[in-house]
Amino acid sequence: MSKRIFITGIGIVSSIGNNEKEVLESLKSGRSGIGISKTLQSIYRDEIPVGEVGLSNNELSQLAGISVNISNSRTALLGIIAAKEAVNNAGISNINEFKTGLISSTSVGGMDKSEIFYKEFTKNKTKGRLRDIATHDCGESSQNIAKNINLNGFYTTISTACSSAANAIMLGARLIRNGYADRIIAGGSDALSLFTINGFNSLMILDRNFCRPFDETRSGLNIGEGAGYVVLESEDCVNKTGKTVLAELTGYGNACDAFHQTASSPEGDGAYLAISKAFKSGNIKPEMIDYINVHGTGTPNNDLSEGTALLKAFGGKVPYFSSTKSATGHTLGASGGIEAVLSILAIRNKMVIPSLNFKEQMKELTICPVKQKIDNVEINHVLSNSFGFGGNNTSLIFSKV
Amino acid sequence: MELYIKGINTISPVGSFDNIDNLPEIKATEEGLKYYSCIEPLAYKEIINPVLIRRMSRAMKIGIASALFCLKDAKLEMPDAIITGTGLGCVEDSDKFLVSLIENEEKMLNPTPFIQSTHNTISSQIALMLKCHGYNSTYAGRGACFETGILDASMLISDGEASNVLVGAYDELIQNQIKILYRLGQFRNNNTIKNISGNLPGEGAAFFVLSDKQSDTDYAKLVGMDIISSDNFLTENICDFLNKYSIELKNINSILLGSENFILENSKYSDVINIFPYSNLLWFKHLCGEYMTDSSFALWLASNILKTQNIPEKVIIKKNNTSALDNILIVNKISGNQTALFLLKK
Repeated sequence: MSKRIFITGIGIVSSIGNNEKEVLESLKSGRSGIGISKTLQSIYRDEIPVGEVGLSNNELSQLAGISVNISNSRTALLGIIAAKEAVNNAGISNINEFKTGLISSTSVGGMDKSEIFYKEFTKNKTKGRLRDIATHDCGESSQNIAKNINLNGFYTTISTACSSAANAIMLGARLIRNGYADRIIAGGSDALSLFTINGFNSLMILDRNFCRPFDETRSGLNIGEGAGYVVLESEDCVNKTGKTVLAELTGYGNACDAFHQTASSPEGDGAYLAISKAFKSGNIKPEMIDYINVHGTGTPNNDLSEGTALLKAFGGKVPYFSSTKSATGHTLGASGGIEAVLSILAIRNKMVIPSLNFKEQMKELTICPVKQKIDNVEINHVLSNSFGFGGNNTSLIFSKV
Repeated sequence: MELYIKGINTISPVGSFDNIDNLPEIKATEEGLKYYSCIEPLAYKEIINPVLIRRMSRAMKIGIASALFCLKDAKLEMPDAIITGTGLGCVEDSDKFLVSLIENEEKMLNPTPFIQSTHNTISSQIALMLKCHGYNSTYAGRGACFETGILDASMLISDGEASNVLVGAYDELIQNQIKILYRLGQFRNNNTIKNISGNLPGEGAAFFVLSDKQSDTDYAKLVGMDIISSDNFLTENICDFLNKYSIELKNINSILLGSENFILENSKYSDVINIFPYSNLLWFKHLCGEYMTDSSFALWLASNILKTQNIPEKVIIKKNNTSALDNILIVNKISGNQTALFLLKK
């Protein structure tokens, strides 16, 4: 029997709310955070809707409780806010009391600042403010978050595209099980950037309207930004502190689709493998899952591939499922962290979160997402899928305690 | 952590282990900024499909080729898991996409550099080429990215999830980045540098096949690894680390230091060498330069030294013993205020 991994704190900032409470209100009212950006200096600003956290960097600094004079990347700011909330939510007063680490993830790190630097630098190699390029690497936001939660222990950074934060949570659990840590803060953060907007736009997978995951008419994703972190603790640690447990991480699995650098296999092989591994690791049977928070980006390719994998993994009997990216946007490297928090909120509030904008059944599938919120549902186990470029597929299972 | 190193490979500024006596050539940008650059294999197409090579950046070529050569060295066709670490990932592609989006004002962009800029491109490409559906992960940025990869591999093996793990690191150096690194003051251009310094930007790829099964052809045994997250109490942390593996300070045959200079007095390693008066002092950064995943080069070098039982002259700072070469401790101060420790045994 593996050691149990408990979740004692959650923290979130996203286009549907700047903290757990606001996010929960949005989920209950079915509010979407997707719209026209206020801050992006892109030629596509009025054309491509995004899931933006509606605060400037200065406002984010204030919310994070740090000086506005410091040139922090937006990714670091979002990460600090959500990680701090998770730590507070877990009632941790002395973070270094137990052997604690931070596993953070991001896909583009301080790219928002690098873009500012490069505007000058491409014209003249002696120009560009150095503080705008000093936050470029993915590890900067992790180091910055560690500093701001006063962590003396280990930190590291995962970057496996859109499955990054799910992999961070999985690594955190494995570190605790192997005795390397008592407590891990794990999750991810990603800010909107011209780099990612233009990258996905050049791949022609951005919907010009609200994304419609698992809908026959879906035509791409909406990029979002935000951060989501959870506090994972060993059973011993929880016993010592007598803390309230929010949920348990019971299963996890990662597999590689090994089909194409950006596209998923039509059969969803990698997704099926990841889900199967998660079932096996948690000793959980498919029929025990009450709700699936799908990856569900809204691209024609992902939803077909993922839907096919679900039908196979659940033997045709697929439980309630929804894509919360229809409300938050696809937050890339943060999505696994944000969706972990949403999965835990679903368990805690006995609520199946709806998929927004769904109208038309996909012809290739026999299943469709939940359209309206369902209340008073006993949710014992949630499966959360996160799939990334390079066929990096991760599934996590969160369970009621 | 008892991991046997089955196969190794590096593509680095110094090239092969046999070539270490010929220190790498110091290159310079048009402004005269000095750096080290990898000696690339002449025949990439022997190991990578030529159709794929054309689209690949240098990071992809050195990373993928090194990984595939490593598998060949280990005589392993299919690893159970693939893990990489990288400081800045495919920086040439990131730079290319960033420049083109600025210069073309966001119009008519080629998606290839965007796709390839993703940090897990190389671990995914290796999986794609091998059709490896196993566990796949990538650690990135400052701090212990390569080291976390090793830790991850050791947990996969101890949990019984894998028996052979391909784990490695890569970082490429591009012209724009050299200019930025010097402007940031991370390196200082010193015209007196002739041919021996580790205080230059570098690059490289190094891969390893790790397994829990011992055999006669192993390079070395990786007994332990730790990441110290603070400079305070570093020597105490090193003592605790060795204590955990029941080895006394005086029994460490050689320490391989991440010093950028061969003068260790008053350096950031002086406290460390004070506790190892009987150990041989070795260094490696003058063979590969400095980059976020240079611990991987150190691990490659130490593995070779233990296997061949030969310490090349050029890596010796000070010989303090002539006893049997049965272990090496790597101490490398990496980016992000962390120190990596690796303990290897014959």
